[in-house]
Amino acid sequence: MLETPCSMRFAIRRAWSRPLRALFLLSTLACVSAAASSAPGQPAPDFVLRALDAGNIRISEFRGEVVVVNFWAAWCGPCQQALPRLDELYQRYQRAGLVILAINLDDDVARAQDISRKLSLSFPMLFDPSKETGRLYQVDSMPMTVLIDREGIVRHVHGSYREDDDELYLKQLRELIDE
Amino acid sequence: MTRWILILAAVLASSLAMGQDVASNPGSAFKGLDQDVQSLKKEVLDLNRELFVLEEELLFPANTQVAVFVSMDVGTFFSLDSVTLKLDGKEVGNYLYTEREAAALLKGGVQRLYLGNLKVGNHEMVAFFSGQGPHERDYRRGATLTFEKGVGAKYVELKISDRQSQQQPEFLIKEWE
Repeated sequence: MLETPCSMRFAIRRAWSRPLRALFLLSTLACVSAAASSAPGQPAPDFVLRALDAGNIRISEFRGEVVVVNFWAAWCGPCQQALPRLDELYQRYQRAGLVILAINLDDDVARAQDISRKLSLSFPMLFDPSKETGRLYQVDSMPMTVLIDREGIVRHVHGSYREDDDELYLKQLRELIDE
Repeated sequence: MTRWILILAAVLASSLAMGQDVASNPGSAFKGLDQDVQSLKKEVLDLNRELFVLEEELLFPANTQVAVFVSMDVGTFFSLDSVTLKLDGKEVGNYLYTEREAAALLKGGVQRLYLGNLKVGNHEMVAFFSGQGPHERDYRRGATLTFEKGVGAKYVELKISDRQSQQQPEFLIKEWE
């Protein structure tokens, strides 16, 4: 390690201060932009998760398809109402290029797997016990449904589910599939 | 006439006075300029020294680079699910492979799993491979490499291949020379 006199250390600190400030600003901006990456209009963050009975699934491999990502948990009643509805949509539009990925955020994966098997869903069920993907998509309510277009851009985000929402989901999905 | 002579004399006198200022203080002007040049030169030298130090601080980490790659030469005995990499006891990489990614590795692709920096000296690398082994049973194996990191980039390959003689997959960590 080289010895540097005080004046040089001061000069080095001074020399670093501007680029450090710039780096701090850039990183702050990056954090802000990363935090907003699940917002409509932003590219959908990539992730890979283990699926129930289906190996590992990476969302970016579905580029070219319309993807619906649904975050749910075992303790969430509306989540378990939404999943069968999504299954109906999936069975109707799968051949048109619709992909649905349900991501469970429970700590207890075994319980979530039991519920998944009971629901007998046609689309892949992924598990995110570490909640890294949940954080990436800024899940702040459940169920949260993200609609992603064929270019991998987030187009719609729904932070809850009610039966009245079915028509809206259908309308938005049809628009994306028809693009 | 007298008036014109007086005007001419005044103009000549003022121009002489201006010339005299420069002429009377050439040393101070040059001295000032010389001092400016000297101080500028000193600043340039100081800056050059700072840049040299910064350059070394930046360059040194680059020479501590270590890159870890994954390759597969497996057809029969192993279906790769994930790889976890630890360096000196600390987990530095964890990758889940999709069917498509595993197929790409089987076709000859090489994946850069990890890129980082290590200090010069002895280090231990441990890689854990998870997947399905023979008879579609869950399979988890580890491989360890103790290596010496010198000055210069270090490249390590995690190689998965078939060992026909034992009807088992083989997991190797090897250094690229």
